[in-house]
Amino acid sequence: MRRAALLLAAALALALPCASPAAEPVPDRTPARIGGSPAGDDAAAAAYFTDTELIDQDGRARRFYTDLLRGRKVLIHFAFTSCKGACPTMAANLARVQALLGKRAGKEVAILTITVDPVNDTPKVLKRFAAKFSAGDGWRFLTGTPDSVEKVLGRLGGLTKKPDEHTSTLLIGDVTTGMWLKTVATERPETIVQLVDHINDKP
Amino acid sequence: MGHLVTKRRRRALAAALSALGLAAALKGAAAVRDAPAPAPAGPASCAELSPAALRGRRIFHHGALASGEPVEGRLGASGAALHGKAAACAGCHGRSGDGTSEGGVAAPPLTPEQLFAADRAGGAYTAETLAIAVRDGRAPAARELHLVMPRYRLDRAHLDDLHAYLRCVGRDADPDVSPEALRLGAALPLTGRFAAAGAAARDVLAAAFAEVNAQGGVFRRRLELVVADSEDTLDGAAATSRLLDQRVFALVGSVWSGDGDAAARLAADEVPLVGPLGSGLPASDPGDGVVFHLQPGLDTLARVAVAHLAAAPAPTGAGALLVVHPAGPRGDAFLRGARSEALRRGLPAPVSFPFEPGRFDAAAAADAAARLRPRAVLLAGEGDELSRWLAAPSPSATRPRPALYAPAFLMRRDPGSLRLAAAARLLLVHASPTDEAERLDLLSLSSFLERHRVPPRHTAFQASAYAAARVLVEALKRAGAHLTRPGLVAALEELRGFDPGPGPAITFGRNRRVGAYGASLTGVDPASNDVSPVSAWVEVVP
Ligand code: HEC
Repeated sequence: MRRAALLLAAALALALPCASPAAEPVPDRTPARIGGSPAGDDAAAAAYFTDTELIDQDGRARRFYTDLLRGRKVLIHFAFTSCKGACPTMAANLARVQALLGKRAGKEVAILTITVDPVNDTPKVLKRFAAKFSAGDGWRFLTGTPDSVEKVLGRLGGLTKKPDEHTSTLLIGDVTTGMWLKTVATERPETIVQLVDHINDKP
Repeated sequence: MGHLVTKRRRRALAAALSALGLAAALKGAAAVRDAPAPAPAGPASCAELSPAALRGRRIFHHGALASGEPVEGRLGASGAALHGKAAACAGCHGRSGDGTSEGGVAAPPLTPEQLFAADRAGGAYTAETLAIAVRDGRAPAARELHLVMPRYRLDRAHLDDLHAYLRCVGRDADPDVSPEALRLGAALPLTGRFAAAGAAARDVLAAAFAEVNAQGGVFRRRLELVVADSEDTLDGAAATSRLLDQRVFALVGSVWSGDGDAAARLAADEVPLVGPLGSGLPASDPGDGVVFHLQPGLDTLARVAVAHLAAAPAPTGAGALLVVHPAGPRGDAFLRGARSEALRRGLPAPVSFPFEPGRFDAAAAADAAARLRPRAVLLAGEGDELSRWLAAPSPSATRPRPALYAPAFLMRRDPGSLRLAAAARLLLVHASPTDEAERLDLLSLSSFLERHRVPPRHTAFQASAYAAARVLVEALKRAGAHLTRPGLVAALEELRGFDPGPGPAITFGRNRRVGAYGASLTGVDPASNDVSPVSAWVEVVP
């Protein structure tokens, strides 16, 4: 169990900033499987991800592991709302993923957009941003105190010093099995859904 | 230092992009220009701008004509238009005219080196070709400019003003900034009832600036304190107006009520005020404007109380929260804070018990509490409400009294009050940390005062003035040598967790004018009647 958590940490650390969203390389169609433990270990995952408190776009407090991750597949993406370059394209892309997931979005597969600019991205600001992409219940836009957000981003390898350096990484995970992989948020929506569906397949 | 301003500038370009709905489509449409060509012979002097250049400057930075009328620019044929501040050239081309880029669209530099270089491809800009570019979107050699460059509805006279200013953009000083000195104002009560407190704050500000000046000032500029007497008030409106007449660059540790013509003028002149004094805590975050508060709002104190309550397990059969608060904007802000934090944490909606300010009926409030049987009471006020609540006979003497939270500034520290507070299980919500680090900060403030031979008195006032000076000086350092008021505002907006000494660490943001979103809690020990920490600094999310 210890090994799995370490593997995950290392794997997620690989998901560090791509240069700039505009200079995005052509998405890798066969994203690397970056870790996991065959027998998912709830306690290890809880200890790794922590129940750091984040606030969603409706102003509700959410414990990171227990309320947002546990027992689901998740898509995790990083953003800041004042980024107008390629960022809206990525969110728009995820909106299509949400549509493709249909009823599964939410309970089975959660989409989590975490701000890297918590000072400026208050829940109210995130709410407006979410509305632009018709985000439903299964898509949470998350902020928090700067310390909490930093802690969560650190766990996910999305830590950035300045919002501009944000990553366009999309993490896909099955929290139950502990399988995680990463791709880019601009990947074709159909491909993203396929990755979600087949995340536990043997290579 | 450059990066501190880029983000802000980018916003205008971004706004234009999204107004066009073109952000994605435009990716890579306009090439980023090369570095500026070697500087041509510059104009004789930009230290003092001509009247025409001053008018052009206003268009460039504020999107406004000398008359105050906003300028308008259309974005291509889309029908979308930018007005006033959003149409200001500086928003896209940068405050020093050195260009920005976002989402693959670049607003090129407009510096004199760039526009008026003799060897410029297509020829140096003239008043004529500049007018065509700005009005019709056509650059020399008939190149059609990108749709994001607005087509401005401007008369030739205004375009000539712009031309005059563009010969100096990036080299001009703010008219109120000299290379040698920076005049910073504070309205303080130097006569009348509050004279001692006013003088105490003035001495602290003067000492803080003297310390900076002894080290060479900020970018070689000496900081000069200009004080205007607010007389027998903590309102400061008239004194602030006089300071604005004297063209101070910014205000610091100045008494402020936020009302009236002075507030309007401050906003219109875009003169930042850092760390207003004398008006107590702000009600809530105004979200924009030029006044930067260093203490949390009343809404935040209520949030911290509710967050603290929610962290404890709810006793069985616990009722809702009762919020006892003055009617009016300040009490409403307190209530709003309690309500949103309760919603955030899945607690039942708090019940409001408002009272007319100055006419608090403690017995009626206690009655309401007895009927409701709340899990906790949050009490706000401006005067003796807490003392009267504590003194009111508890009608529910048979039951344990609900938890009680109140802002610490309401608490009187005499032994009788402390005994009542302990019995009521009162938790005090402080706008400052109450930990060891804060104690050390206050100690180092004492030695600062001693060093500068400033007698310690009205310590809360002195601590606030000191913190205000520290925050301002930090922002001035970050704003860079080419100092402008919008540059100072941007530097303030970039502060993250800056520790000014006494009081909370300061974080401002684009829509954040309250530097601290948190509070700490203390309680009164029933055995010793000592006030001691119950919770360290708790941050909340707005
Ligand atoms: C919304 C953003 C925006 C605003 C506001 C804006 N511009 Fe521009 N401007 C641009 C962009 C983008 C370009 C580059 C267009 C191109 O090269 O096709 C540009 C190009 C120009 C050029 C041509 C420069 C060259 O190298 O030939 C001039 C001159 C110019 N702007 C002047 C102004 C002036 C003066 C103002 C204010 C009155 C202004 N702009 C306001 C975005 C803006």
